[in-house]
This record gives sequence, C-alpha cells and structure tokens, in this order.
Amino acid sequence: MEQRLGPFSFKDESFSVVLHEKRFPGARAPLFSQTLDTVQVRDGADAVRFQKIFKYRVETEGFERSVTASARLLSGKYFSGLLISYRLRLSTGENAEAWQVFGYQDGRYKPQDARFRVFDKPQRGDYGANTSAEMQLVTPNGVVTKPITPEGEIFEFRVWTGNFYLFLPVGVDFANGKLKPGMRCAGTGGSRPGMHEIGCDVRVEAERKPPDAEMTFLRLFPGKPGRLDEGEAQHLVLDKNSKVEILKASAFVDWGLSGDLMQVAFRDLCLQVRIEGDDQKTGWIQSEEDFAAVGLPSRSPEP
Amino acid sequence: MKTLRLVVIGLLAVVVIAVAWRTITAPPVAAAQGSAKPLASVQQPNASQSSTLATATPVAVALEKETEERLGPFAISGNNYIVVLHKKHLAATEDTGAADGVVAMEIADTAGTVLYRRSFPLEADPESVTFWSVFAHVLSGTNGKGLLVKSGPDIDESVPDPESKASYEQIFGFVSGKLVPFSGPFFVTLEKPDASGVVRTQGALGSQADELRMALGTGRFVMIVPLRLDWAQGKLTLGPQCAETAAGGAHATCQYLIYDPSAYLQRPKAVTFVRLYSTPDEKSGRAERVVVKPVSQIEFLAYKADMVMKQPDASSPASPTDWPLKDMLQVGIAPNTDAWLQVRIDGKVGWIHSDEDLAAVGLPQPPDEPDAQ
Repeated sequence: MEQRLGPFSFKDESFSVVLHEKRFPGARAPLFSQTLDTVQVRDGADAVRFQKIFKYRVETEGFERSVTASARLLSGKYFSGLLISYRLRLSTGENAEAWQVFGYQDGRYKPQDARFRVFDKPQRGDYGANTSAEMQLVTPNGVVTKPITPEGEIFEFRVWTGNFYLFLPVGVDFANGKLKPGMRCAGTGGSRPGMHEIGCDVRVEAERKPPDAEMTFLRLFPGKPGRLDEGEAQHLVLDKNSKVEILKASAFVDWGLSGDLMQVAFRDLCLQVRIEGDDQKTGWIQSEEDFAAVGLPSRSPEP
Repeated sequence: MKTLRLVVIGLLAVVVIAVAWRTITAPPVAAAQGSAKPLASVQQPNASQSSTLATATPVAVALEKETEERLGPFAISGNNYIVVLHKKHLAATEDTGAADGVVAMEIADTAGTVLYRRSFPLEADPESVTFWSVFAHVLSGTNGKGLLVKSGPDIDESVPDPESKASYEQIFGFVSGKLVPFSGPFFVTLEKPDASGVVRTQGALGSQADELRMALGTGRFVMIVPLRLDWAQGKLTLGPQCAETAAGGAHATCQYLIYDPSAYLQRPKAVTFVRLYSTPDEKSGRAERVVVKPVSQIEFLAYKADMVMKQPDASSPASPTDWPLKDMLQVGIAPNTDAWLQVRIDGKVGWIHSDEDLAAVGLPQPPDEPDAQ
C-alpha cells in the first residue's frame, strides 16, 4: 500500500514523501495490522532523492511493531526544508518518536556542498547554530551593527513525553547541514559548585483528562527543577472541579540516534502547575502519580 | 535524606548550648571537684574595697556579693547529705543589669566534707544576664534511693513553680560506699516531686534498677525515652524495652511513646493528605493516601527510632572555666537513622517518615531549626 504526502515546495523545488506500508489482514490488534516498509523522498521529477527501508517481523497475530510516519514543511525566515516524523509502537506498550530533517545545505563557503541531504543529529557538546541576523563590528568610529545572513534558524519540534507535548527548540544549521540543540541552560546552586548545566524551561501543550476518582493527591514542590528535594512538598487534595493550570515544563534534553533517525530523551522532567489560581499553590510536580493527579496520566499520544 | 532532619533536638541543643556557653568567661574561682574539702565559708566582700574599685574604674564594674544556701538534709542509704548553693549577686552598673545566680553547687556530708562540686556561670553584659538556678530532691525508686539535682539557666524564681523551668537533671547515688554521680547532667525527666518533695521513679526494672522517662524533643514533636537507672552499678542507660537493644544499652532501635502533642500540634488549616505505609519501610508497598482535614482526629501512636546515648567523662564535672554542660549525657536519635512515626488519622493507622508527611499531620519543621537555615 502506498501513501503520498505533499507536495512540499522549497528552494524552487517540489518534493513528495512516499510511504510504502505492509498490511497484516486479520491482525488481532488494528494497531499492529500495518507498518511502514519504505519511506522515500521524491523530487518534482519523481526521482528518489532519499530512501529508507524499515525492517519488520511478522508474528502470529500481527506485526511485532508498528511504525508510522508523517511529514510537514519546515518553513522559516532563512531556511525551508522537510521534517519527517516517525512513531514506533511496540506490542509491549512502549512507543517512541524519531525525526529526520531534509533540506539544502548552504553552499556559501563551498558551493559544491550545496546539496539536498538529511541533516545530521546534534552531537554532545553542540550548541547554538548562529541564528543572529546582525553582527556588531568595532570600528574606529565606534561599534557598528551590520546585517548578516545567519547560518541557522530555530524551529520548534512538538515532542510527546508520554504524558504531554513539549515544544523543543531545535537549531537547523543549514551552513553545515546539521541540527543543534536550540537551547542550553546553565545556572548555579544545588550540590554542584559553580555554573553548571541545568534543565531548561520548555513550553508545554497538555490536554488534561480529569481523573475518574473523586479526589486525587498532589505533591507540589516549591523548589527549583533539579533541586526539588531542597523544599518540602506541599500536599494538596484535588477534586474534579479543581482549577489546574499547566504553566511550563523543565527538563534536560538528551539527543540520540536510532539508526539514522534522530531521537530525544528527557531527564528530570517536571511540570510547573498552579492550583486554584493561587500563587501559594504554584510549584513543580515530577512523578507519574502526580502527572496523573492533574489529569495527565501516562498514555499514547492522540493519532 | 530529609528524614534525617528529625535528628534529635537533644544533640542539636547540646551543640547550640555548647557554642553559646563557650563564649562566656567564667569567674576566676578555683576548681575544687575531684577532691573532698571542707565547705567553703560564706565570703562577704569588703565594702570599702568594692567602693574603691568602683571609683578607680567607674565603667562597668559590678559589685559582687556572695551568699550561701543549704538544701536538705537528704537521707540516702542511711547517710545525710546537704546540697550547698553558692550564690553571687552582681550589682547593676551603668552598662549592665543586676544578676543573681548560683555559681557553684556542692554536695557535702554531715561532716562538711565536699563530695561533689559543679560550677555555673554568672554573667551580665549590656544585652543580657546569664544566671543559673539549682534545686534538689530525694529520688526514690523500688530498688534504690538517690539524690536528684535539677538545674537550668535564666529561671525567673519569682514565678510559681520555677523548678518546672529547669532544663537539666543529674542523679547521685551510693555505690561502693561512696556517693557518686550516675552520669553527667541530662535533659529533665517527666517525673515530678510529690507533696513531700520526693521524686519517684516509674517502677522497678528487675531487682537492681528503676525506670525514668525522659522527654526528648525531635524538633517536630516530643518523644518519651525510657531510661534504666541501675542503682547497683551507678549507671544510666537506655531503657530495656527494645528487642534490638545492644549490649550495654548504649544503642537501641525500638518504639517510643509520644508526649501529649496538644501543646505543639499545628492542625492543618486546609485539607491535605498524608502517605501512610503499613509498616515502617518504604519498600513495604505503595503508601495509602489519607486525607487530613482541619477537624481530623490526629493521634501519634509511636516513634520508631535508633537511639544512642553518649556519656562524656562524668567523673570530671564542669569547673569555673569550663562550659557548664561539658559532661552532659547525650541522648538522641542516631545519625543516619530512618526514623518513623506511627499515626492514626480518623481511625486509619500507618507509618510516616518524610518531612512533607510530618508537616501534613501538623508537625512542621520549626523555623529556627539550625539546619533549616
């Protein structure tokens, strides 16, 4: 079965994403009745510019896993490209997300390098594609601001954490054909001396489903993310009518690679919430139990 | 671990008091402990000498006047003993207020031989005065009798029952033909003198010991620690009620009762909850969330903790140049102890041990606790 997504136009070219899927008629679970077999990126002449083949295993009642893919245009001020998002679901209940970014590497330094490619994933220690559109020059007449063409641009990836979505800033370094973390956060305090890496505040999209229970129990920490145990948690009892505001999240972001797919993992993920509009009841939560208490239990993302 | 903040106030208090008292310059009175000597006679300062001194150095020189008060006699093991309190008066100066207090306590026999002496500081500075008071009683148990000396700093003796403000006690008894201290001073016990002025123990522990109950603050609540008073050996040890009590009674993990919490319980102002474990072990299963309302019935049933007792050399009491509690008997929760409190909330019984759960049942961390700063 073939599915064609697009066309996606950038750099005066048109691209399509073609998904070839395998089906397992009569699979016990509909989710494992089909899986992605091949993904192709084709240009306007229908020439295959990229192809990836996924392995799959057939079990007695369906596929061992299900891989699905979607595509969208990344359209920025300086860069346009293609983002393919993959979702992997295992029969064990695990699921994972991965991405590939396609686009033209800028050939400003080596014109021969200006080519359509999959952008490399962020490496450990990478930080900050130069996204500035101006440069400060010190001249004999003082500091002069001069416009420049940036080497990168920041895009937000919507990433499922298991309970809610985070909007993760990702730097697309089109000068070098690679991705970089869109932010890195440093601070002081905690058990480590001096300035060190801390979790970053991240925008959240959360769809609450108030729990069925008459009341739920929330441990609200007053401290800062990464140092929650420095404060005494406030114990709040919520009912179905309790007003819960989701303010922001904080996490360390670890970039990884599964084959040639880019993945991300969150460490020390916590969520800042405000209860009943009361600043005295504003704090951080971090356990599955507390996420569930505010109506964000662990679950699969909506299709 | 946060639960370690439940560390004994006893030990903390000792440290705090130690720091405070080390700043005090004790009066230059010769130490006399360790060797028996006749009772010191009352010394009245020479008025003209004092006057000359005051004229020569008009700034902040207090007039000193020493008096003596005798308590007793106390009949113990067929002998009578007297407690002699040497008191001093510091007159007010331009910079300081007047101060009265005990500067030495001596225990003497009827022949006037001093058997024990302990010094106390008396000090006045522009901000405060520091003075000590001392009280004495016969301590009577099923298996023995001794002398109980209570003391405490800055007790206003004009209030009713000033003795109830005393912070420390020390027990003396007759061992091998001598009156000896069973330990250094320790935090007061719950036993009070009866109408005849005799303090009675809780009851017998075997054939040679009796039980006393010490009230020990943890910073969040007050626990009752039973002590074993061994008349024959002249020793105080932790109570024997725990199966895990180590040899010698210096180390014990067991359950202790909680002193009436009505004076310090801070009922929750809003609905909250507590995580109750069925046994005092986080690995015992998922904790049950139990709602605690402002009107909930909150009971503290027991406290499970690993207790330790440390006794610095009690045969060498504080001299005038020493910190007055340098030989204090320290009773407290052992470091790194995972201590648990058994509670009953509206009929539901379980165990808690984290700071946040203790706060939820109305036992918040006191704001002036040193490790909270």
